[in-house]
This record gives sequence, structure tokens and C-alpha cells, in this order.
Amino acid sequence: MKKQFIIGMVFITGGFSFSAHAGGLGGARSVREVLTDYVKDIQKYTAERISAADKNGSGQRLKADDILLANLKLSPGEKTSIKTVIASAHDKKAMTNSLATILAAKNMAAGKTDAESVSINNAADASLKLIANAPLIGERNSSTFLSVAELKDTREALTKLVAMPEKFIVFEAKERDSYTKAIVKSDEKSVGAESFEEAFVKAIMESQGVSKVKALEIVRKLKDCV
Amino acid sequence: MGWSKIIATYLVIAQLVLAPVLSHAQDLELEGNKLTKTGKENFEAYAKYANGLGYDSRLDLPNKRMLLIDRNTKKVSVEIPLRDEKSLLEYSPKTLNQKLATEFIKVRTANAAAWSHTVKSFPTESTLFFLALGGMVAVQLFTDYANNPVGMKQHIEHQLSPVGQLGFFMFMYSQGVTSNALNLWLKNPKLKMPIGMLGMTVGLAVQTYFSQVVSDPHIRNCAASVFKGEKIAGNDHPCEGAYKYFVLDKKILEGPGVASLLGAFLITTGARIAVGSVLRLVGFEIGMWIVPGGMVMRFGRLLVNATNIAAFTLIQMKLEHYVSYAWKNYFDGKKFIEFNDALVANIENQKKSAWQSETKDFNKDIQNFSKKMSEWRVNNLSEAYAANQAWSEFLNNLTSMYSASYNFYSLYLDSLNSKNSLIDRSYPLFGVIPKGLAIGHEDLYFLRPDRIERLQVETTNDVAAWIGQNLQSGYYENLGFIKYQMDIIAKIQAGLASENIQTKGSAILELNAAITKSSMSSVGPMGLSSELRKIYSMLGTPNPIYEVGRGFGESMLLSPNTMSAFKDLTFEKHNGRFNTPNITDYFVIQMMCGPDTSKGEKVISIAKGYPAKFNAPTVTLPDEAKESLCYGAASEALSNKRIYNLPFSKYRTVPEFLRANMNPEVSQNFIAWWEKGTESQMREAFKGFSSLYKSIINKLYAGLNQTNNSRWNRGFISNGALVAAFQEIRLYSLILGEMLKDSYKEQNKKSLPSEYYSAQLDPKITISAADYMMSKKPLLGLLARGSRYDFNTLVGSLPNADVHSLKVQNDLELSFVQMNNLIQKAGARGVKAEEFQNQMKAIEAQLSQFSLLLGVSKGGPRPGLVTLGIDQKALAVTCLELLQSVSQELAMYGNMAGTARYQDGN
Repeated sequence: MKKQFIIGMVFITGGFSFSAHAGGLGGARSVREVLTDYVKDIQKYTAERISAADKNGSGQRLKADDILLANLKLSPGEKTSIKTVIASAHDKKAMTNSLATILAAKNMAAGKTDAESVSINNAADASLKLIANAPLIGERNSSTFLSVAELKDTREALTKLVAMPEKFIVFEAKERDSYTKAIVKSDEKSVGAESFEEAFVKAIMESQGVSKVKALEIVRKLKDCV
Repeated sequence: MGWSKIIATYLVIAQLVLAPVLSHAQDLELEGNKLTKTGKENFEAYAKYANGLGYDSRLDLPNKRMLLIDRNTKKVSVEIPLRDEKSLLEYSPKTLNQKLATEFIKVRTANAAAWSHTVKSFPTESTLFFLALGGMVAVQLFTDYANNPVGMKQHIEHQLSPVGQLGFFMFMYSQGVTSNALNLWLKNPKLKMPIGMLGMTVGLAVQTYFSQVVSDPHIRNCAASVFKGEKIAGNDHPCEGAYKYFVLDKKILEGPGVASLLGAFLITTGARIAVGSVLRLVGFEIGMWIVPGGMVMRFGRLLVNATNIAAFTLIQMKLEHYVSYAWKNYFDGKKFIEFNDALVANIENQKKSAWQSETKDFNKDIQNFSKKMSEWRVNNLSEAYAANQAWSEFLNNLTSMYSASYNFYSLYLDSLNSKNSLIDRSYPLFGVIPKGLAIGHEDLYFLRPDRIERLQVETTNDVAAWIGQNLQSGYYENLGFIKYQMDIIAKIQAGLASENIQTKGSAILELNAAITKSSMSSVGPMGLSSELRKIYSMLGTPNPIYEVGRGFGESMLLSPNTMSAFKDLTFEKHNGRFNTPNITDYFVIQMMCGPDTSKGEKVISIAKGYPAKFNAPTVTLPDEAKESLCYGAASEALSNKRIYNLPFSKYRTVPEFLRANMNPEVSQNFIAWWEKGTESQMREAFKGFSSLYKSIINKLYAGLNQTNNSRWNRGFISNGALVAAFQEIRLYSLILGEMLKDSYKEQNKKSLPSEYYSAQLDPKITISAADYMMSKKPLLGLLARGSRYDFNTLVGSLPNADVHSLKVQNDLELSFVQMNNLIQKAGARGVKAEEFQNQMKAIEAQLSQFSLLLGVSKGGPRPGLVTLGIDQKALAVTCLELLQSVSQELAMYGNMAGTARYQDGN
């Protein structure tokens, strides 16, 4: 999935290559390498916390989610939105894990000013914005900007992105930044847009400087990654 | 019990004991607008008394009442009317008698014979009889607390119990001031959860009159026959006997306590007597209970209903248990002898043909036997199962309210403390259909009201256009509308068409007002009302919300994923000074008026016999406004809209109050605050529950390890579930072994080599003569006594001959013994679920060994020691599968011991 997904992202970034083993050639470990370990740790920590909470009744489980969300330092609106996304998720555990990973990335980059860290932090924030906007996906069944088929494709692509919001963070910087741009733009545009799908397509057009046709092509690539 | 029945009960009692009540009401006598000197003294005495019980007292002179406020929950629990002429008139015997008489006349019309009988049987003595019986039940329930913590609730709600309906209520009423729990319930019939002082109430009662009735053998026999199903020697109808002794012989009036206790009870009822047609029904029902012999009839019905496990109330539980236990022992016990003989005959038959004859019936018999055995074990453990279920009910309310409170508080406080909070938003288009909103996106009502509003605007524009078209086409003129009506429609249309959302909202308010008005008005053609309704329904169910703060809660109720934690919750529909029809309103008031955990106030109330209750804590600091906002009686409760438009105090809305008085600990770190004051109490409470659980575990183990059979048991399957399980296991293992040995001999013309046999001799068993009385070949009885697997010697005359079991049989037996050891270990301390799973796997491994020898392994056609025919293969597979299912059942018992123990997350 990752590989195919990257193909979609490559369209966005205009054809940058992606190296699976970037960084860390004999020298200090790259941010991404450290992050990978950190992600493992925090996922383990969250899993233990949730498992302990489950034994204590559902109230505790809610609290475990809350602690995670509190650490993400979200706005109240985003927090409430993400809570409903967790509540409605088919795989709650996967969603919590994604959020834990995003938290790991944010902690990793916290207080650092180098380009890589800033880029990671921005990508993590963008991913949170994407999850917070998830309830808007599929809000309307028709659109004046997109045909029924285009609307459906865009909805499916967005649904897939929401299911793997943390994946972008470990991409190469340029790919990651392109993703960040597109998502942040979608969030801005969603306020006035007829639908989040419309906002997303327009955000790709604007952030990548491509036509609607090209933007929809990218959307379909994203959608088809399985 | 329904509200109507409470009222009816009240009326019945009122007639009997009116005079003493009035004398008590005079305790708090008013003169003008002040208490008299005696009244004041009495007030102080009451206040002191209440103080000791955990209640603060307040004198509310303008409303002529004294209030007792539960110190923990901060709720008005008791309201005592002050005596003045007006209230006296409301209590007037004449008024009450008239009401009662009217209703009873109606009953008479319905069933003259029943009524006349009822009248004759309705004196004080009859009532006292039921009162005493009700009290007896109460005592039983309290003493059985550990096994059924919600027994009292079940008891009260039990629709079949005459004592539950009448006697217990009278018993509770009789406690007067201390019967706050019932009073609270009376105010709020939906609550169904009296709280606080119930234990104390009963303590008092025991001192006053239980010493009299509890020790009386007549009452004891009657209660025992009803609630324990015990047979009383020489007394077929113990309740009738007791009734005769107490009521007809007037013995009940001789004791010291019973007659006098009726004095204090009506103080708290106030004047809220509703009379209506409902009383006709309940009056009749009460009459039926009072009729001597009526009880017997009802017991008959009870027994019939006892088969309905779904109802699951205490009485049913008891009856179900005792009746079905005896029944199953008596009849099923005997049935197992038939099974035994049939199974022995089947095995003999197969052995004769060297396991080559058909096994269809044999297979069927084994399956029926297995089903019956499983039911048998459940029956023998039913008391533990039932107790476990009662505990789940007890804790369910507590834990679900706890999680819901946390969930709401977390959401609400986040929003309350943020800029541009949705709490401060008005919802002028609330209830209007959002045009084009896809199904499944209802969360957006709460999450994104702005987006929803945009879609709602589209709907209002569409409707405005539609009305505009009608106006232009002359549609309304054709209906004959006069100018006044046309103006109304035109104004609504203009409002809806406006670009300003507030103007749209105003137009909807106007529409709603016009609908109300037009339905009452007779001016002009009648079509206006229906046209307005048409507009209304095109909009949806429009109901603009302008009060700041109210829309937040209302929209939350529309959001499925936000509300999921609050589903199926029981909460008080009156909280503080307000009606709280919605749970969101209820929580908002709790945030202001709930117990203050920083002062160590309790968030969990546990009244014996009722589900434990969680009272969400206040998030605010003490403030004088709380006095006026948090204490009020249901009778004068304000609409929930007023929560967001306060009628008094310096704050305009409750959210404003919350913001202004927020406890800084809460705003700094809600989670830490919650953990410190609230969660810590929950943990502490669970420690107590955990120790009470132990009695269920003990009960479970008593059932599992029982060795003495019930006197009802007419067969030789043990009442102890584990021994019974081993009887079943050994039977299947025996069949498989015989099949293997005989088939090998037939196919190889020699006995199975000794390497397949255990080197050890089979253990000797003690043989019971009683087993031989039941059957000539008591195979199942013998299998209860030890692991011997030689069919011929077991059913022959040599059950203790020197024989060797097969190795595989001994190994299988050993793996089940290890499972038994694990179960025993789980009773004493925790055993992880994996351990049971591992043991099940170990058993499965032994079963695989057996299947390999028999050539019926799951892995495919691998040759075994023998080649079985199709019928025998089917029989072998059945036995192996049944062995596996017994192992699952045993693992379940072990897990049950685990789940009855509180799992501490630490």
C-alpha cells in the first residue's frame, strides 16, 4: 500500500524520488530513524495503558483516549471532532495507534528548529487537521463543482488518507511537505467550500499548480492504492 | 411499580391512619407567617435529628415547608409540610374518603362480588398483616445483600408480589421522616432508585416491630413458603394460617410495635394527590390481594411464572431456583437412570457385534445425554449464576453513569474554557432540515453547527420560494384567506426569505405561534392552520433556540457518536431547581450542584438493596448562588429552558455561573482533578464490592465441589458439577476405549498390545448399594467414583477387579484433572484466561492422540490402529467433540470465578 500510495504522492510533488533507506549512512541516526523507534515505544505504551484501562471499565478507556488527545494539544473543536472519529471508527485501536504515532512525531520534533523537525511537526499537525475534518467526508451526496463519480472518487481517497494519517510523516521531506500543504489548504478551504471533497480537489490544484483534471488524476491514484 | 399504584396505596393507607398523621403534622405549626413556639422547638428537634442522619435542614416559610437536603447529593430528599389550615384541609378525612369511595364505587360496578368481599377484608388488621409480611421480606433481602445487592429494587418492582406492592410500601411509609428514600421516589417515579438512608430505615424498623414479627412462627412459615419454597410440615397453606392467626384472631394488635408504628408515616407526602381513572384498576388489584385466599391464587400464578427466567427478579430467582432445582433433581435425576440403562445396552450391543452394527440410536442417545448433563450442571449452579447476574445489574448503573459523566464533563469543559465556544452560540434554525445532508452525518449537528446552518438556510430559502410562488399564483386567495391571514403568510415568507439568519429564526417563531393561535381561533376560513402546518413540516420540526447554552446540549443529543456513552442511562428528571428532561441538562446542573469532591463529599451512594448510584461532582467553588439554584422540590421545578435564562442570581445562565466559579484545579487539569477526587472514590468503592463478590465465588465453588447429593436427587448423577462433569468425561472415554480394544481384537485376532495400557492398576472404588437399587448396571454411578475404564468388569459383578486402563484414557483423565486444579486455583486467586486456554489445548492434544489411534483424526485419512466403519467413526467423532465441549464448559467455570472478581488496572 505504501508504495502505491507514494505513487500518488509523487504526482503531487511533481516526481521526486523516494528512498526507502534515506539517511543514517554510518553517521548519526536520522530523525526518521529515531522517530521509527519512538513510534514503537509510544504505541506499546498506549497499548498497555488502554489494556489496563479496559480492565477498569469503559470510563477508564475514555480517559486513556483523553490523555492522548490532551497531549496532542488540540483545539477544543478538533478534540471533540477527533473523539467522534474514534467513537465511529471501525478499528478504534488502529485510530488510537495512528494518533499515538502522530503524538510521537510531535514530541520528537518539539522545540527543534532544523528544517526536518519543522517539516515533521507541520505534517503531524496537518494529519490531525485531516482527522478532525473526517466527519465532513461524504457530508453531501451531490456537488456543483464535482460530478457524482468525481465526488465519489475524492471521498474514497480521503477516507483512505484518514485511515493512515501518520504514514506521511516518515516520508522524504519534499513529499511530506507537499502532503502537508495540500491538507492544510484543504482545511482552510473547507470553511467556505460546498464540501470537503471540493476543498481537497481545489487544494491540490492550488498547492501543486495543476488543473482540475490533473488534480482528479492524483485523487484517483490515491484512491486506488490498496 | 407504577405511579398510579403508589397513589392508590397511599389512599388506602390514608384512610386507615389519617388521624395519627395529622397529629404529627401539627408538630410544625404556623401562626401567621411564623412557626409557633412549639413548632420552632419541633423544627429544631427535627433538624438535629436529620443532621445526625446526614441531612441539612432548611425552613422555607414562604412555601410553608421544611426541607431536608442530603448532604452528599445536595438534593432535597424530604419535604415536610408545615401545618396550617389549608394543608389540613387537603388532608381532610372527608376529602380523602370521598375520593376513595368514588373509586371504589367504580370497582364495585366492575365486579360487585369482588368488591363486597374486599370491603369486608379491608380493616387495619389486614393491612398490618401484609405490612408485617413485607417487612419480613425486607429483612430477608437485607441479610442476603452479598448475594443479591439489588434485591430490594427487584422486590419493589416485582409486579407479582402482593407484599411488594402493598406491604412494603406501607412499611416504608411508616418510617415517616426517615423514609426519605421513598419520598424521593414518590417525587420522581422514573428514578426508581431510592437512596441514602434505607439501611438505617430498616434498622429502625427492626427495633420497633420486627422483633415482634420476625420471631413469630406464623409469619416465618408464610414468608418461607413464598420466598424459599419450603414446605411446612402439616401446613399446606401457611399464609392462610398466618392470616387467620393474625387478622381473624386479632393477634397482630397484641404486640407492642406494629400498631403504633403507623403513626409517623404520612408527614412527607405533601398534598400532591392525583386521582384519576387509573385508580379503578389498581383499586381492584389491591382488593384482590387483600381477599383471603387471593394470596394463594397469586402464589399459584407465581409458580407458573417462575419458569420465565427473563423477568429475573428476586422472587422469581428464588422460586426459579428452589422450584426448578427440586423439579430437575426429582425428574431429571430419575431420567439419568433411563439414560444409564440405554447407554449400557448400546455399548453391550456394539461389543457383541465387535463394533460393527449401526450406531444411529446410540449416537442420538449420547447427544441427548450430553445436553441433559449440561443442563443439569447449570441447574446445580443456578444460584451462583443468578447472584452473578444480580451483581452485574448492581454495578452496571454505577459504571455506565460514571463513564457518561466523565465523557460529558470532558467535552463540555473543553468547550466551556475555549474562545468562540459553541456553548455561547444560539441556534435560530434548530430543527430545520439541513438540505442535502447525507444520512450518517448527524454528528455534524453537534460538531459543525455552522455547516449545518448553511444547509438549513437552503431549506428555508426553498420553503420561502415555495410560499412566494403560492402567494403569486393566488393559491391562498383561492382558499378564501382573508387579508389578516394573507398577512401572516406573507410575513413568514418574507422572514424565511431573508438573508439574515436571526430574521429567519424570528419568522419560524412567528410560524410556530401562528400555528398555536390558528388552531384555537375561529376567525376566517379554517384552512390557515393546515397551510401553516404544511410549511412547518416542510421545514422539519423547527424550534429556534435562542437561550445561550441550550443548543449545545440539544445538538449533542442529535449526535450519535457523542451520545453513545449516554444511551440507556437512568437519570433524575429533576435536578436542583430545574426540570432536566435531557441528560445534557442534568449534567450541566450536576456540574454546578453535584457533590464537592475537594471537600471529600461522596460521588457514590450505595443503599442496601438498590443499584449503586454515581452522582457526578461539581466543578465549581462554593458560591451563594448555589443556594437558590441547587435546592428545590420537584413540585415547583423550573423549565429546563431557565437553566439558560436564570430567573434569579447574578448570573444569566448556568454556563456563565460555571465559568465564573470554576474550580481552578478543574480548569488547570481536568483529568488530574477527576482522578484525585472522583476516580479515587470509585476505586475505593470497588474494593468493597470485591470483598462482597467473594460470597458468590464461594457459592459457585460450593456448587462445583458439592459431594453430598440433594435429597430430591433420585438418580446417580452427582449434584456437584465437577463430579458430574467427570462422569460424563469418563463415559465418552470408556466408549472410545472399548471401541478401540474390541475393534483391534476383531481385526488383528489378538488383544491390543500391552504397550498401549497403563502399567498401573486402575484405582479401587467404593461401591454404593444405593446405586444398585437404582439400576442393575449402574455404570454412570460407578464412573462417579473413580477412573476405571473396563466396561465388562464395571457392569459385571467385579467392578473392583484388577484391570488396566489404556494409557490414552489415563492421560486424558489427567488433563481434565489438571483443568479441575486450575478451576480450584481460580477460586482462591486470579488465574489468567490464557492458562485455561492452554489447558484446553492440552486436553485437545490428548483427544488428538485418541483420534489418531482410532483413525479418525481431523488431519485427514491417516491409518490408525484400527479401521472403523462409517457408523463407528461418527460415534467416535461425537464422543471426541463432546469431550471437547465439556472442557470448554469447565474453562467457563474458571473464568466465571475470575469475572466475579474486580480487575484492578494497577
